[in-house]
Amino acid sequence: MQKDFHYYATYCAAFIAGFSHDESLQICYCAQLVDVCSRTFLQGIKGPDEAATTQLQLELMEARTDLIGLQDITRIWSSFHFLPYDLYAEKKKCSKVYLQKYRLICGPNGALVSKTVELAKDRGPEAAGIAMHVLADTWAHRYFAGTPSLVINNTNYHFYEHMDSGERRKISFRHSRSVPDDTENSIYTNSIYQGSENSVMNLGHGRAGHLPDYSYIHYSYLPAWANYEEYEKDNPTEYMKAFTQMIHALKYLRSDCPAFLLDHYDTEAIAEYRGLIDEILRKRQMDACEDWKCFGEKLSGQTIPDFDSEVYKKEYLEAKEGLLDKFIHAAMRQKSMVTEEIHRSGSFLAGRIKK
Amino acid sequence: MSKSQKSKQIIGALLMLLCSFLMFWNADIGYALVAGILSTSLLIYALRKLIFYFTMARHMVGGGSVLITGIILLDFGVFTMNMASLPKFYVVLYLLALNALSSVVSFLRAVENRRNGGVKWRWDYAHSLINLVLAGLSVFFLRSTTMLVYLYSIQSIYLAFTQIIRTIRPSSVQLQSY
Repeated sequence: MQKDFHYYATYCAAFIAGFSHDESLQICYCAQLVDVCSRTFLQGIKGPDEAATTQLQLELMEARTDLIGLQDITRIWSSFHFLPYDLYAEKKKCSKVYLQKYRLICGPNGALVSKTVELAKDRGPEAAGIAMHVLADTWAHRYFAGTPSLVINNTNYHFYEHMDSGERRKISFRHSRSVPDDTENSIYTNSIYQGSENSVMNLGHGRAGHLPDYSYIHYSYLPAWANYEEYEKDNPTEYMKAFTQMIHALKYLRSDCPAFLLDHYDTEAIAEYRGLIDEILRKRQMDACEDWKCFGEKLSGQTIPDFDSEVYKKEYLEAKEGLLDKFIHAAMRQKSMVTEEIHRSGSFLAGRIKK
Repeated sequence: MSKSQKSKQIIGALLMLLCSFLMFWNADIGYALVAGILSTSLLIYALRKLIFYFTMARHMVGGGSVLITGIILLDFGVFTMNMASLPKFYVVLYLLALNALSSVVSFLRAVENRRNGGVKWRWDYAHSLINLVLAGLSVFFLRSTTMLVYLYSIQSIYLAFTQIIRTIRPSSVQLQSY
């Protein structure tokens, strides 16, 4: 997902869940910070490299693709952006390495989502923000894995968009980053095909471009692992589920409900706003920040400042405390938990965290 | 490219340069070395492709292409290995034909690159055309084995330098956000 959902929509979900304006701002700030907190960012604030929750494109270009490098990449992306759905999934007649990668495929309502939300309980808005980012991405990034893998993350020419008119329109891909996606003609940018299994070009949903992160799009394609079975991705519906699940999770974190339940969506909380939210999600645009921001300001009656990664840096540099400090600790807890779970399932793909 | 990938590319290019100068100095040793290195590389690459197919890619949509690529490369590798027993003329002609084939592939890639809005298609076009011209010149010098060897050496030197330039020049970032 993008800033429109991680920052503004998370603010809206937090406010609807009962958090105050200031608390909602902290939560959504930390949710968006997950997409910013790279090693480069951490070096700028003299923070620990182990707390990195993302990698910049230039960092990925320079990343090693031997076992150590792959484990490092997998730890970050699987922990924060492609939370595995089922670490004990079965697939017959396949090699051990293939099975380990297959088990990293991301999806919503897996056991790790529950653990992620539980880990954030009573740990403040910073941990809640991280948990909301991870939860939201399980919906957007489903069917892809947070490890470089051609055999899991590859896509081919079979990509079709389901238009409102009922038409099934072919999606075309190109490799030119300087040209923006052409949403009117269904022409999008994706990463170049790389035949090497562990190439970083095969990380996550790069081969599908930004499609998983656009809330309006409803498409079908052939996931590389699905044995030629066509899978449908209805983003407006799934993003709505993500939003209502976030509300449920945030209510649990506020202790407004006794337990966080998987496959449970707080649709009652958005009953009066459902039409408006649906309109935002279905609007054919690459960036819905303005619409979500308007909705959030209408909800709370207060201004939502634009996301600024510099805001809390001085506080952290001077005294190693404050929001960034708590965020760093929460990120390290999340990464440790996911890495240990992956290791416990018998996979070496994420390595181990030193205690 | 990462540092290790760049190192491999430069080492490969330097090896190509060494073989080319060796061919100028002593064609018999040179071409045998080239054929040997080429056949070994093809065989290793083919085996890696086949192992990758049977362990991983057979479960992938479109994975059959990996198997086909592996088999074709295996055939080329075995064929190249067996060419050592043939007269030099046929070996050099075969090596030139391989280069011509790779130039055609580069040309097609350049066409696709241009169609997809890529930025370096002019370089790819020029590169493949130069290679095709060098390979085409071999038709004129078909009667002279020495000239064929020299043409192949010139082509290899050119390829080595372009590989070094590609490795050391800054590359545009092609990744997407995830």
